[in-house]
Amino acid sequence: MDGEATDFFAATFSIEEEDHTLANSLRFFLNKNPHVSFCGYSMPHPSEELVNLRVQTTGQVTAMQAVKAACEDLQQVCGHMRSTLTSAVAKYQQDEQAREQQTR
Amino acid sequence: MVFELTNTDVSSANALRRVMIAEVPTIAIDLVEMENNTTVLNDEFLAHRLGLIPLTSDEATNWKRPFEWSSDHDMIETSFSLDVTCTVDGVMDVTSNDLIPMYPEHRVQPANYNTPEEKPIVICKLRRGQQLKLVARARKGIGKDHAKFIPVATAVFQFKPRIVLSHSAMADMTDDEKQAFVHSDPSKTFKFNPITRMVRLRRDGDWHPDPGAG
Repeated sequence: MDGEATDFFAATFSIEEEDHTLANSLRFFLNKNPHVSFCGYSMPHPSEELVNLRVQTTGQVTAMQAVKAACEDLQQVCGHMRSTLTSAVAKYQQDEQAREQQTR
Repeated sequence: MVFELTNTDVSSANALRRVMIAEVPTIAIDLVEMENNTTVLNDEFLAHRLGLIPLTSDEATNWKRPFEWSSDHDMIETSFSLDVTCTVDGVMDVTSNDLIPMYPEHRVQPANYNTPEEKPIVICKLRRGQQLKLVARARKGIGKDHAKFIPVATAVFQFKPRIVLSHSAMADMTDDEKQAFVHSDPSKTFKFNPITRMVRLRRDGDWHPDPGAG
Protein backbone atom coordinates (compact mmCIF):
# COMPACT_ATOMS: atom_id res chain seq x y z
CA MET A 1 0.00 0.00 0.00
CA ASP A 2 1.18 3.56 -0.65
CA GLY A 3 2.21 5.62 2.34
CA GLU A 4 -0.35 8.41 1.94
CA ALA A 5 -3.27 6.03 1.57
CA THR A 6 -3.59 5.20 5.25
CA ASP A 7 -6.56 7.51 5.77
CA PHE A 8 -8.78 6.08 3.03
CA PHE A 9 -12.13 4.57 3.86
CA ALA A 10 -11.97 2.01 1.07
CA ALA A 11 -8.87 0.10 0.05
CA THR A 12 -7.60 -3.05 -1.55
CA PHE A 13 -4.80 -4.78 0.30
CA SER A 14 -2.49 -7.00 -1.72
CA ILE A 15 -1.01 -9.57 0.63
CA GLU A 16 1.88 -11.66 -0.61
CA GLU A 17 2.83 -15.17 0.56
CA GLU A 18 -0.65 -15.77 1.95
CA ASP A 19 -3.62 -17.84 0.90
CA HIS A 20 -7.13 -18.74 2.03
CA THR A 21 -5.93 -19.70 5.50
CA LEU A 22 -5.38 -16.09 6.53
CA ALA A 23 -7.62 -14.31 4.04
CA ASN A 24 -10.84 -16.13 4.86
CA SER A 25 -10.32 -15.73 8.62
CA LEU A 26 -9.57 -12.00 8.20
CA ARG A 27 -12.65 -11.60 6.04
CA PHE A 28 -14.78 -13.21 8.74
CA PHE A 29 -13.47 -10.91 11.47
CA LEU A 30 -13.79 -7.86 9.23
CA ASN A 31 -17.43 -8.70 8.55
CA LYS A 32 -18.06 -8.80 12.27
CA ASN A 33 -16.93 -5.17 12.50
CA PRO A 34 -20.07 -2.92 12.39
CA HIS A 35 -18.13 -0.12 10.67
CA VAL A 36 -17.24 -2.26 7.66
CA SER A 37 -19.76 -2.01 4.84
CA PHE A 38 -18.08 -4.39 2.42
CA CYS A 39 -15.34 -6.94 2.70
CA GLY A 40 -14.19 -9.62 0.31
CA TYR A 41 -11.06 -11.33 -0.90
CA SER A 42 -9.92 -12.96 -4.10
CA MET A 43 -6.93 -14.89 -5.34
CA PRO A 44 -5.90 -13.63 -8.78
CA HIS A 45 -4.31 -16.98 -9.62
CA PRO A 46 -3.99 -20.13 -7.52
CA SER A 47 -0.39 -20.73 -8.55
CA GLU A 48 0.65 -17.32 -7.30
CA GLU A 49 0.63 -16.79 -3.54
CA LEU A 50 -1.14 -13.45 -3.64
CA VAL A 51 -4.41 -12.37 -2.03
CA ASN A 52 -6.36 -9.18 -2.73
CA LEU A 53 -8.43 -8.12 0.28
CA ARG A 54 -11.00 -5.39 -0.43
CA VAL A 55 -12.35 -3.40 2.52
CA GLN A 56 -14.91 -0.57 2.38
CA THR A 57 -15.95 1.15 5.59
CA THR A 58 -18.86 3.42 6.57
CA GLY A 59 -16.48 6.32 7.23
CA GLN A 60 -16.16 6.00 10.99
CA VAL A 61 -12.89 4.08 10.76
CA THR A 62 -10.28 3.92 8.03
CA ALA A 63 -9.79 0.71 6.11
CA MET A 64 -6.34 0.33 7.68
CA GLN A 65 -7.78 0.52 11.20
CA ALA A 66 -10.46 -2.04 10.36
CA VAL A 67 -7.91 -4.55 9.07
CA LYS A 68 -5.66 -3.92 12.06
CA ALA A 69 -8.56 -4.56 14.43
CA ALA A 70 -9.44 -7.77 12.56
CA CYS A 71 -5.85 -8.99 12.85
CA GLU A 72 -5.85 -8.29 16.58
CA ASP A 73 -9.17 -10.11 17.00
CA LEU A 74 -7.77 -13.09 15.10
CA GLN A 75 -4.72 -13.09 17.35
CA GLN A 76 -6.91 -13.09 20.44
CA VAL A 77 -9.10 -15.90 19.15
CA CYS A 78 -6.04 -18.01 18.33
CA GLY A 79 -4.59 -17.35 21.77
CA HIS A 80 -7.86 -18.35 23.38
CA MET A 81 -8.06 -21.53 21.28
CA ARG A 82 -4.52 -22.41 22.27
CA SER A 83 -5.07 -21.94 25.99
CA THR A 84 -8.41 -23.79 25.90
CA LEU A 85 -6.77 -26.67 24.05
CA THR A 86 -3.82 -26.84 26.45
CA SER A 87 -6.05 -26.89 29.51
CA ALA A 88 -8.47 -29.40 27.95
CA VAL A 89 -5.63 -31.78 27.04
CA ALA A 90 -4.11 -31.45 30.52
CA LYS A 91 -7.48 -32.16 32.11
CA TYR A 92 -8.04 -35.16 29.82
CA GLN A 93 -4.66 -36.61 30.75
CA GLN A 94 -5.37 -36.07 34.43
CA ASP A 95 -8.71 -37.87 34.10
CA GLU A 96 -6.99 -40.74 32.27
CA GLN A 97 -4.43 -41.12 35.04
CA ALA A 98 -7.15 -41.03 37.69
CA ARG A 99 -9.12 -43.68 35.81
CA GLU A 100 -6.04 -45.89 35.49
CA GLN A 101 -5.37 -45.64 39.19
CA GLN A 102 -8.96 -46.53 39.97
CA THR A 103 -8.93 -49.66 37.81
CA ARG A 104 -5.71 -50.89 39.38
CA MET B 1 -8.61 -38.10 21.28
CA VAL B 2 -11.48 -36.37 19.54
CA PHE B 3 -11.60 -32.59 19.55
CA GLU B 4 -14.83 -30.58 19.46
CA LEU B 5 -14.73 -26.96 18.40
CA THR B 6 -17.75 -24.93 19.47
CA ASN B 7 -18.89 -21.32 19.21
CA THR B 8 -16.70 -20.54 16.25
CA ASP B 9 -17.01 -20.03 12.54
CA VAL B 10 -16.29 -22.19 9.52
CA SER B 11 -13.38 -19.97 8.55
CA SER B 12 -11.59 -20.52 11.86
CA ALA B 13 -12.10 -24.26 11.67
CA ASN B 14 -10.94 -24.31 8.06
CA ALA B 15 -7.91 -22.16 8.85
CA LEU B 16 -7.02 -24.55 11.66
CA ARG B 17 -7.37 -27.50 9.30
CA ARG B 18 -5.26 -25.84 6.59
CA VAL B 19 -2.52 -24.95 9.06
CA MET B 20 -2.50 -28.49 10.46
CA ILE B 21 -1.92 -29.91 7.01
CA ALA B 22 0.43 -27.37 5.44
CA GLU B 23 2.20 -25.36 8.08
CA VAL B 24 3.00 -27.46 11.13
CA PRO B 25 6.74 -28.15 10.94
CA THR B 26 8.07 -31.69 11.00
CA ILE B 27 11.39 -33.39 10.43
CA ALA B 28 11.97 -35.71 7.48
CA ILE B 29 14.91 -37.04 5.50
CA ASP B 30 15.86 -34.44 2.92
CA LEU B 31 19.29 -35.45 1.60
CA VAL B 32 20.61 -38.94 0.92
CA GLU B 33 24.27 -39.73 0.21
CA MET B 34 24.52 -43.13 -1.43
CA GLU B 35 27.67 -45.10 -0.85
CA ASN B 36 26.66 -48.44 -2.28
CA ASN B 37 23.39 -49.48 -3.87
CA THR B 38 23.19 -52.86 -5.54
CA THR B 39 19.46 -53.30 -4.89
CA VAL B 40 16.81 -53.59 -7.57
CA LEU B 41 15.58 -50.03 -6.83
CA ASN B 42 17.51 -47.04 -8.16
CA ASP B 43 19.04 -44.29 -6.05
CA GLU B 44 16.42 -41.59 -6.41
CA PHE B 45 13.63 -44.11 -5.86
CA LEU B 46 15.17 -45.13 -2.55
CA ALA B 47 15.81 -41.50 -1.60
CA HIS B 48 12.14 -40.73 -2.25
CA ARG B 49 11.03 -43.63 -0.08
CA LEU B 50 13.41 -42.62 2.70
CA GLY B 51 12.00 -39.09 2.64
CA LEU B 52 8.49 -40.38 3.22
CA ILE B 53 9.42 -42.24 6.42
CA PRO B 54 7.87 -40.41 9.40
CA LEU B 55 10.40 -39.28 12.00
CA THR B 56 9.61 -38.26 15.57
CA SER B 57 9.39 -34.49 15.33
CA ASP B 58 8.96 -33.23 18.86
CA GLU B 59 12.20 -31.29 18.37
CA ALA B 60 10.91 -29.59 15.22
CA THR B 61 9.97 -26.37 16.99
CA ASN B 62 13.54 -25.90 18.22
CA TRP B 63 15.11 -26.43 14.82
CA LYS B 64 15.56 -23.95 12.01
CA ARG B 65 14.57 -24.61 8.40
CA PRO B 66 17.35 -24.95 5.78
CA PHE B 67 17.07 -21.45 4.26
CA GLU B 68 16.07 -19.68 7.46
CA TRP B 69 18.57 -17.45 9.17
CA SER B 70 20.40 -19.49 11.81
CA SER B 71 23.44 -19.08 13.99
CA ASP B 72 26.05 -21.69 14.81
CA HIS B 73 24.09 -22.79 17.86
CA ASP B 74 20.88 -23.63 16.02
CA MET B 75 19.94 -27.16 15.07
CA ILE B 76 19.26 -27.62 11.39
CA GLU B 77 19.85 -31.27 10.63
CA THR B 78 20.61 -34.72 11.94
CA SER B 79 21.89 -37.85 10.19
CA PHE B 80 21.01 -41.50 9.94
CA SER B 81 23.20 -44.29 8.61
CA LEU B 82 21.99 -47.41 6.88
CA ASP B 83 24.24 -50.36 6.11
CA VAL B 84 22.54 -53.62 5.20
CA THR B 85 23.96 -56.57 3.25
CA CYS B 86 21.93 -59.65 2.53
CA THR B 87 23.91 -62.74 3.50
CA VAL B 88 21.09 -65.29 3.68
CA ASP B 89 19.39 -67.14 0.90
CA GLY B 90 15.99 -65.72 0.27
CA VAL B 91 14.54 -62.23 0.54
CA MET B 92 15.66 -59.86 3.27
CA ASP B 93 13.75 -56.70 4.17
CA VAL B 94 15.49 -53.38 4.72
CA THR B 95 13.19 -51.59 7.15
CA SER B 96 13.03 -48.32 9.06
CA ASN B 97 14.49 -50.18 12.05
CA ASP B 98 17.78 -50.40 10.11
CA LEU B 99 18.12 -46.60 10.02
CA ILE B 100 20.59 -45.91 12.81
CA PRO B 101 20.62 -42.37 14.22
CA MET B 102 24.18 -41.06 14.15
CA TYR B 103 23.35 -38.57 16.92
CA PRO B 104 20.89 -40.22 19.30
CA GLU B 105 21.02 -37.18 21.58
CA HIS B 106 19.02 -35.24 18.96
CA ARG B 107 16.06 -37.49 19.82
CA VAL B 108 14.99 -37.89 16.21
CA GLN B 109 14.24 -41.40 15.09
CA PRO B 110 11.82 -43.18 12.76
CA ALA B 111 8.28 -43.56 14.11
CA ASN B 112 7.76 -46.81 16.02
CA TYR B 113 11.51 -47.38 16.00
CA ASN B 114 12.32 -50.89 17.24
CA THR B 115 8.81 -51.27 18.64
CA PRO B 116 8.08 -55.00 18.70
CA GLU B 117 4.27 -54.60 18.53
CA GLU B 118 4.38 -52.45 15.41
CA LYS B 119 5.56 -53.54 11.98
CA PRO B 120 8.40 -51.35 10.69
CA ILE B 121 8.29 -49.59 7.33
CA VAL B 122 9.91 -51.62 4.54
CA ILE B 123 12.34 -49.54 2.48
CA CYS B 124 13.39 -52.23 0.03
CA LYS B 125 14.02 -55.95 -0.26
CA LEU B 126 17.40 -57.59 -0.85
CA ARG B 127 18.51 -60.83 -2.38
CA ARG B 128 21.67 -62.66 -1.45
CA GLY B 129 24.72 -60.50 -2.18
CA GLN B 130 22.87 -57.21 -2.60
CA GLN B 131 23.90 -54.33 -0.41
CA LEU B 132 22.58 -50.92 0.56
CA LYS B 133 24.82 -48.41 2.29
CA LEU B 134 23.95 -44.74 2.69
CA VAL B 135 23.88 -41.69 4.96
CA ALA B 136 20.59 -39.80 5.19
CA ARG B 137 20.26 -36.25 6.48
CA ALA B 138 16.99 -35.12 8.00
CA ARG B 139 15.85 -31.51 8.05
CA LYS B 140 12.91 -29.46 9.21
CA GLY B 141 10.19 -28.51 6.75
CA ILE B 142 6.49 -27.77 6.36
CA GLY B 143 3.75 -29.39 4.28
CA LYS B 144 3.85 -26.55 1.75
CA ASP B 145 7.43 -27.46 0.82
CA HIS B 146 6.88 -31.17 0.27
CA ALA B 147 4.17 -33.66 1.15
CA LYS B 148 6.61 -35.72 3.23
CA PHE B 149 6.53 -32.98 5.87
CA ILE B 150 2.75 -33.24 6.38
CA PRO B 151 2.28 -34.40 9.98
CA VAL B 152 -1.31 -35.59 9.66
CA ALA B 153 -2.67 -38.49 7.68
CA THR B 154 -5.57 -36.21 6.95
CA ALA B 155 -7.40 -33.43 8.74
CA VAL B 156 -11.12 -33.00 8.26
CA PHE B 157 -13.82 -31.18 10.07
CA GLN B 158 -17.52 -31.82 10.05
CA PHE B 159 -20.54 -29.98 11.29
CA LYS B 160 -22.18 -31.70 14.19
CA PRO B 161 -25.93 -31.47 13.58
CA ARG B 162 -28.38 -30.68 16.31
CA ILE B 163 -31.22 -33.17 16.05
CA VAL B 164 -34.46 -32.24 17.79
CA LEU B 165 -37.31 -34.74 17.64
CA SER B 166 -40.82 -33.38 17.52
CA HIS B 167 -42.86 -34.90 20.32
CA SER B 168 -46.12 -33.75 18.82
CA ALA B 169 -45.34 -35.56 15.58
CA MET B 170 -44.35 -38.65 17.53
CA ALA B 171 -47.69 -38.65 19.35
CA ASP B 172 -49.48 -38.80 15.99
CA MET B 173 -47.45 -41.77 14.73
CA THR B 174 -48.28 -45.41 15.37
CA ASP B 175 -45.71 -47.79 16.80
CA ASP B 176 -45.14 -49.40 13.41
CA GLU B 177 -44.55 -46.03 11.83
CA LYS B 178 -42.05 -45.16 14.55
CA GLN B 179 -40.19 -48.43 14.02
CA ALA B 180 -40.16 -47.89 10.27
CA PHE B 181 -38.71 -44.43 10.88
CA VAL B 182 -35.97 -45.86 13.10
CA HIS B 183 -35.13 -48.62 10.62
CA SER B 184 -35.00 -46.25 7.67
CA ASP B 185 -31.73 -44.72 8.90
CA PRO B 186 -28.73 -46.86 7.85
CA SER B 187 -26.50 -45.18 10.46
CA LYS B 188 -28.93 -46.16 13.23
CA THR B 189 -29.03 -42.73 14.85
CA PHE B 190 -32.38 -43.38 16.52
CA LYS B 191 -33.65 -46.03 18.83
CA PHE B 192 -37.21 -47.07 19.53
CA ASN B 193 -38.06 -47.82 23.11
CA PRO B 194 -41.07 -50.23 23.14
CA ILE B 195 -41.87 -49.59 26.81
CA THR B 196 -42.28 -45.84 26.58
CA ARG B 197 -43.12 -46.06 22.83
CA MET B 198 -40.82 -43.12 22.14
CA VAL B 199 -38.07 -42.57 19.61
CA ARG B 200 -34.88 -41.15 20.96
CA LEU B 201 -31.32 -40.53 19.83
CA ARG B 202 -29.11 -43.54 20.23
CA ARG B 203 -25.89 -42.02 21.54
CA ASP B 204 -26.47 -38.60 23.06
CA GLY B 205 -26.58 -36.75 19.77
CA ASP B 206 -23.65 -38.40 18.04
CA TRP B 207 -24.15 -38.49 14.32
CA HIS B 208 -21.97 -40.15 11.77
CA PRO B 209 -22.36 -39.90 8.01
CA ASP B 210 -23.44 -42.97 6.05
CA PRO B 211 -20.41 -45.18 5.46
CA GLY B 212 -21.42 -45.66 1.85
CA ALA B 213 -22.08 -41.98 1.14
CA GLY B 214 -19.60 -39.25 0.26
